[in-house]
Amino acid sequence: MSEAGAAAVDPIHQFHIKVLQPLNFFGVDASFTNSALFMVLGALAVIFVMLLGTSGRKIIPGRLQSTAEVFFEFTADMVRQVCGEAGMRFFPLVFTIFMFVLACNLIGLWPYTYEVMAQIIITAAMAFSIILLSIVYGIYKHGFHWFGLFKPSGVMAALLPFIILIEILSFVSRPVSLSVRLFANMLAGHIMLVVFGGFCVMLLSSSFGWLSPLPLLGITLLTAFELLVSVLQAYVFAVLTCVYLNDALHPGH
Amino acid sequence: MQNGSDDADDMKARLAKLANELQTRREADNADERRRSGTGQPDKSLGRAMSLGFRVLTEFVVATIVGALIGWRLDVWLGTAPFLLILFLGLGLAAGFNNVYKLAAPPAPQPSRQGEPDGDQPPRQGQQARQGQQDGGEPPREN
Repeated sequence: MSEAGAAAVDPIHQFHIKVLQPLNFFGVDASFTNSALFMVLGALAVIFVMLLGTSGRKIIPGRLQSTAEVFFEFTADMVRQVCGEAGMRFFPLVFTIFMFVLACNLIGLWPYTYEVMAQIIITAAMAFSIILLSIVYGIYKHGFHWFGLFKPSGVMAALLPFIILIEILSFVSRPVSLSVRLFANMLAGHIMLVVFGGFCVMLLSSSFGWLSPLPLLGITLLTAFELLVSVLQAYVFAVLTCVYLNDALHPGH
Repeated sequence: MQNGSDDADDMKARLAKLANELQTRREADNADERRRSGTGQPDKSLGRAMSLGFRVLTEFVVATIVGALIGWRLDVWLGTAPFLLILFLGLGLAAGFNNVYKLAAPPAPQPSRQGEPDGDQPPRQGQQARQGQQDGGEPPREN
């Protein structure tokens, strides 16, 4: 394999950040990149679907209105089931996160687009903000009682320091696991697609060209699988947001 | 247009016809959905199993890694290598098992929830949950 051929199927290349419009605010690099572009596109897609879907308000909804209603009711049911009626004050946040992640994931599945959620800084920023909100709201709502989250009931006094340490560790690992899950799934899936595409190209340029439909079939199946994973991970991210916010609303084991 | 009552009767008949059509349409849709959910069961359970699998994997691995990282940085800071790394690796492992256990174990009953200071309503439960949870205690939780 030549240098140029290897570069053509470099599976990481798709995640490179390209600066589209250099911007600099008081020494802070705030350049508009391809990542930012696709985030804007994702947000615009959500706004488009929701605004246009809810503008008609027909009794018998059309396609777009049904879509908007399904998204709304699905998320509202999820928030109610996990957090209860009191959790509905977080509904706008959860809905925004769910729709944004879903839109970015689905847009990222198209060829020549950019998968925003395959950058760990994006998912980590979202996850840490959610955990920070859950901590701040929990302390604001429950005061010192919120720290009871770390103290399970019915534990021997001698074991309590260890248990509390373990609980704190598992709390600290929450934002990390929340961000890593989404990031790793998206990264792995998109790398896999490119690697299979690379197999196709390599087989065609070798003497085993007749084998090249096999990885093509693999890509087709993988794309369907990635579609499932994209939706699933957006859902899991939103559900776990609800679960963590539920700990702020109802601490205590 | 000449006869007002005739017009109203006509309108009523049309409304009744529409309602009838809507009813049959809705029933057909419901039957369709039931049939589809019957055949679409493997897909749905595959999604649920995958999401649970990813959650168990990441919660376990990440808790262990976070524990090890904390131990490592504390070691560097306090100059006690490698004891804190070993200690926190063990604690992280325990936290990982704890996370997985919490995912797998049914949620503990929370009787204190009704008397919360914010006075929230008992949560409205989903249709499926209502059949199983008539006593109105713990709302279904996903974790």
